Amino acid sequence: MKTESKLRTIWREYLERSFTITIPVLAILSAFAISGLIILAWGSSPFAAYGALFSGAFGSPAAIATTLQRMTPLIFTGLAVAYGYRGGFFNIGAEGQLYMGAIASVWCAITFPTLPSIVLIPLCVLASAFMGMMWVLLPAYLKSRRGINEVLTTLLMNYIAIQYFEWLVRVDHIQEGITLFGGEIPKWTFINWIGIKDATQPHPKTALLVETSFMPSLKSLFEGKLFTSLFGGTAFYQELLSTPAFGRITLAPFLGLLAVILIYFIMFKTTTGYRSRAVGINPEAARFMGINVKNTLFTTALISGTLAGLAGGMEVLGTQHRMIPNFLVNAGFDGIPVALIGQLHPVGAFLSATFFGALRAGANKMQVITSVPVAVVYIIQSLAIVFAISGTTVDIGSTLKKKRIARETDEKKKLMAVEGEVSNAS
Amino acid sequence: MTELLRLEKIRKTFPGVLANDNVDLVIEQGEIHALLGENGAGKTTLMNCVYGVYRPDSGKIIWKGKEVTIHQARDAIALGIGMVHQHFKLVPPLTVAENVVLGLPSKREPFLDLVAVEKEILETTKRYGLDVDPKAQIWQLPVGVQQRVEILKALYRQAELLILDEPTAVLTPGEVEELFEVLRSLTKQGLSIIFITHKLEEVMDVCDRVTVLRDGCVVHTVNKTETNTRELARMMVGREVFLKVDKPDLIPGEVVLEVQDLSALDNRGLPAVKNVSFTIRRNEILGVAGVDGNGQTELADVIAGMRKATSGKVVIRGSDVTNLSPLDIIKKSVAYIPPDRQHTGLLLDFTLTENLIGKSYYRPPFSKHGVFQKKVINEFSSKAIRDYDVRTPGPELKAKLLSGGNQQKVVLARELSGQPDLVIASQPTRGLDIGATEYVRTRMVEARNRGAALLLISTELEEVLSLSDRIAVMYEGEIMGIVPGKDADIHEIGEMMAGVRRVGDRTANAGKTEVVKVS
Amino acid sequence: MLLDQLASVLLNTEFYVAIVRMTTPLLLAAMGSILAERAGVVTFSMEAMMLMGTIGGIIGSGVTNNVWMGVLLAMIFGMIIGLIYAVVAVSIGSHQIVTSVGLNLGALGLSAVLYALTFTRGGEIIQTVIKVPSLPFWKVPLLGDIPFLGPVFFNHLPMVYLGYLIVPLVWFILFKTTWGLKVRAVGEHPHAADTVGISVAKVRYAALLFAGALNGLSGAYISIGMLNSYMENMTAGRGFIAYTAIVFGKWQPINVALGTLLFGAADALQLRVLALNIGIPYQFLVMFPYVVTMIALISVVGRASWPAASGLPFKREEG
Repeated sequence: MKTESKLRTIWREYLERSFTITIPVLAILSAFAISGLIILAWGSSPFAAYGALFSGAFGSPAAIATTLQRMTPLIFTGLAVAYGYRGGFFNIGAEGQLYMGAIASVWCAITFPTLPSIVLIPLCVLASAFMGMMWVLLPAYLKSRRGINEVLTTLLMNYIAIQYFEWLVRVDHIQEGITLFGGEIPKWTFINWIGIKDATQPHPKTALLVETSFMPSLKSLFEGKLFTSLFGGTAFYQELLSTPAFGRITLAPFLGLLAVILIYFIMFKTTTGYRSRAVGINPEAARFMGINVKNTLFTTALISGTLAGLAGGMEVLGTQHRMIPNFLVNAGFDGIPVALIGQLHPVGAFLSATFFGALRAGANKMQVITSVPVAVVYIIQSLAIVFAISGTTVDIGSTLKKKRIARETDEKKKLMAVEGEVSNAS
Repeated sequence: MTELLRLEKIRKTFPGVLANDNVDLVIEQGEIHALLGENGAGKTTLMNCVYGVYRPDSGKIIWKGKEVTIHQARDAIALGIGMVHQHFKLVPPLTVAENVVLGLPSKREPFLDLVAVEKEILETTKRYGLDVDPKAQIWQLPVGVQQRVEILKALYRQAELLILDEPTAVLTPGEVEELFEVLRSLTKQGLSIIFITHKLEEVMDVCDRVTVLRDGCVVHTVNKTETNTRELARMMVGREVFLKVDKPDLIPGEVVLEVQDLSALDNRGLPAVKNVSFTIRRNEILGVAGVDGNGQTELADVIAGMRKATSGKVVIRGSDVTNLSPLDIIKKSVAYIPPDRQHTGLLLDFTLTENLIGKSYYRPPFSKHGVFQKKVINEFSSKAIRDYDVRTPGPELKAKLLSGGNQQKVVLARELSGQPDLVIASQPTRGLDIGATEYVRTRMVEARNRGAALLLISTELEEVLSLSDRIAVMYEGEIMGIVPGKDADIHEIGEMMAGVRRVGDRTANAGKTEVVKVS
Repeated sequence: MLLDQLASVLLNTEFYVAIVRMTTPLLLAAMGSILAERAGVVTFSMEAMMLMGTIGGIIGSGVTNNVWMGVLLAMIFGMIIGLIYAVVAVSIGSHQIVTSVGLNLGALGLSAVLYALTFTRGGEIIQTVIKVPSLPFWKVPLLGDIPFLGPVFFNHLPMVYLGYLIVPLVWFILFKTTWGLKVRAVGEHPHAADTVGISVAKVRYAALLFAGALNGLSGAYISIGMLNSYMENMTAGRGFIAYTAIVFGKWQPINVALGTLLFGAADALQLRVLALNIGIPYQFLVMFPYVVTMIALISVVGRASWPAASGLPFKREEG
């Protein structure tokens, strides 16, 4: 009897664990299936379309490079939303924090172009992280101290950030040696904050950043001393060098992976993450455990903002090397589905960022080959998130538990009834 | 008098709990009928069956001579039954009139006809002496008036039977008087009232007949004139057989907790703890008896730092800890077993291990520089699960998947494994089966024997009686008396719980004269 | 110099016409959603409803060659999103904002696909169908001839006049009808509403369908009215702006209407400033209402104004 119930508990736990993986997988598969119907209505074969989609995402080094580029900011915003959500801070503002992070990176790279890579790149990365954090400061304060809904405040901060950027990218960045206020301004001052636009360009865009600020790529690794000395004249090496895709595979996605590991570590292996999750699950119980709920919420929000800021930095330093209006549409908002399809787990967020990145990367090839419009991938993403969140809400694990309780009560009732009959008979 | 409602052999079970069994009850027209009993006696469940919130497993409900089935509140309202719950079902930003007509068709569908309704309400209020402004918004009204709105709501729906669930629990003494006036005038108009309460003096004050419930069964129904508070208290508490807990006689040691003239407010901002003073020494359990909602929970919260004291002092081992943060108080070697393990005791979505380190995670050896020491934690967790006999397939199981008893064992392990000097245990056995209850009690006595001071708060009188070295009884935020646990007179305690007797601190001198250190 | 230029903007009738024109889509959307918001459903999915409205308008009008069929289809498309949202958020009880984010993304994709399905063949635009009839201007007789007031208020697309009516209408529904009372009760205290026999789900479904219809209408106004064209994501975040206006107006129809006016005016001013090449960065004009809303949120709205059950799925305890 005892072993049976023990086995049953293990089985239940196994079911519950597997469901956290099963739900997003099922959600994604259903999303593909239903979108397949739309593709059919379109008059194309879903299999051909999905085949093209897949090959567009993973079919060649160039495709993989694009997928990696697309997924990198999503890893960071996905982590930002996941960490915040787990800790009770629903960060809708990843978009704005991302913009501010990108601005900070660009500003650093424009302002300190003479610094060597080894200093400049970390400086730019740190600047993006810092600005992301600063941009969540006010919502964090309002949520933790005043209880004001963070969804709305972070949403508003998005619009403010984007408009600030729109203005900033239209104002010339002040160059060295220009006279202002009747005197020559020094090489860099706080005044340089005004404007990041390339003064020589008629269109609103920033200057292409100095190459020393580019995230190192695989290509630069291949060109390095190590590879040259090892493989110098081999044909294989020449092929590597001539593959342009390797120039686009940079350190950024690997830093994303590092962030996944780091956030996993913080979330599950440190007291900071422990407090954060406790507050996210049940602030009242957390308070009873002696946790300072306000401070914890505040910290959670700052960590979330930092991650979103990094997303902007990675995009600028790793992929675009400049900013133009709409330079990264919706990567902040997409962090929400990425995090939730990933079941709010860092590794899950990484996987679903890969899924989202691959969809976006492969969409063009799908359109070229099967003429199915790119927009279909939005539908796939949308269905995946709606199914995933509904599946999680229905909470199959707990439903099973409830059924078990009901069954046991039934057994008890039957037992009582039998006892009743016995006592009546006697 | 004519019969209005008759219940026959009502039985209601919840998973693992028998809430009502074999209940017969007759309500006559124009009477105020008290339903008297301790917490958990099944009063509210029974009435929720009548009002359609629950469906009884078996038994009959006979309304005006006809058997009826009531599936939901709507059906009960249609029959003419109204109920005023302990938590009002009023919409705060709406006006009185809007709340009264909510859900009813208007005479001018689809438009509201509030002017006419307001007039009708004024007439009704005049007839029954209810003083309510129909245009006022609910949130602006004091609780007593809100209650009248609930009554008004029922009257407007032509209720003939009004069920009031602990109506005085939220009222000031003045408001109670006004409520009683209203109730009397209602019965004069032919209404019947069921008055759920556990306060004896109210029964004697306002009711015509009394039905006493105990453990879900009817003990007796009597006319008020044929009984007295003493007899009712006896019927209510009844049982004299306890689960026996072996407890060696120990001489209490140094003072661990000293509470001086402590006062605090409840969540609504009303005084909940009023000038409470007591001390607890090592090797001693102070049990706090009292009916739920008399300030015990608030008292425990204040000592644990979860609630601000408005005046008075809490001193733990000589240092003043009044209004320190919960964490600072935990660091004074204080354990707190909160009353509600599902909402405040445990983080149900955390694993057992994560729950078990809940009070110690922040310090070495469990974490160093903010990083968890997995090995130490796992060893601790396995040991705690073994020591406290938590039945689980593994330490990584989420707490929500455990049974109530095992959940409470996790709380105990978390709180007691650090060998705290002071243990505050609030309702530690609520909702547990006999086996788990016995286990928890044994653990508490063990903590006492080890040298801890325990503050045990329980609405189960039997628990307080069997565990405590001294017993304090709380009523309306005050301590009515503190008596020795040994050979305590259960009837005297019952009277103090009902607020009809006050004895002061009979143990005041017992401890002071013999300050003996026990190691 | 600057003042002169500003004056030239402010004295220009066109500016005030533009305010009315830019406010209308926000007003229709916000007024549609206010009931659902009041019933305790967060209408973060307004963007999706509006987007489906833009495409519904263009398809209905283009295929039938009748602009009113476009308006009808826009409302139906909006209501379909409302219905899906109701099923997922009300019946299943999923997280409302997450669901909304999903729906917004889906509507973005679906509207683009539907456009391509209807108006292109193999990637080529079918020229005959792209000539979509658009909404006519209705000049109100007499009133339309009043100098200044006439062009500003009485020479517009039909939806503008609906906008004038919708504010008192929503106010009336909310505060003067039994259904409005139910809506308010359900959003504040669903359990109380449930005990007096109100079906919480039914009220929320109805409110979301109403929201869908009006948001769809707002979308149609943008596609076959105001801009008279179609492009991907053409609502450009107006759904969120309207949502912000609801919070800004503290869920009171008249204040919400003023909120949409603030956003509409900022929009109009931005266009004028841009056109006249005045030295004020127009981005700050666009930013302005958000800053004002933020300040309002910090200083006045706070926590208390939120409908108490906002965003919470309703489940009966035991039946």
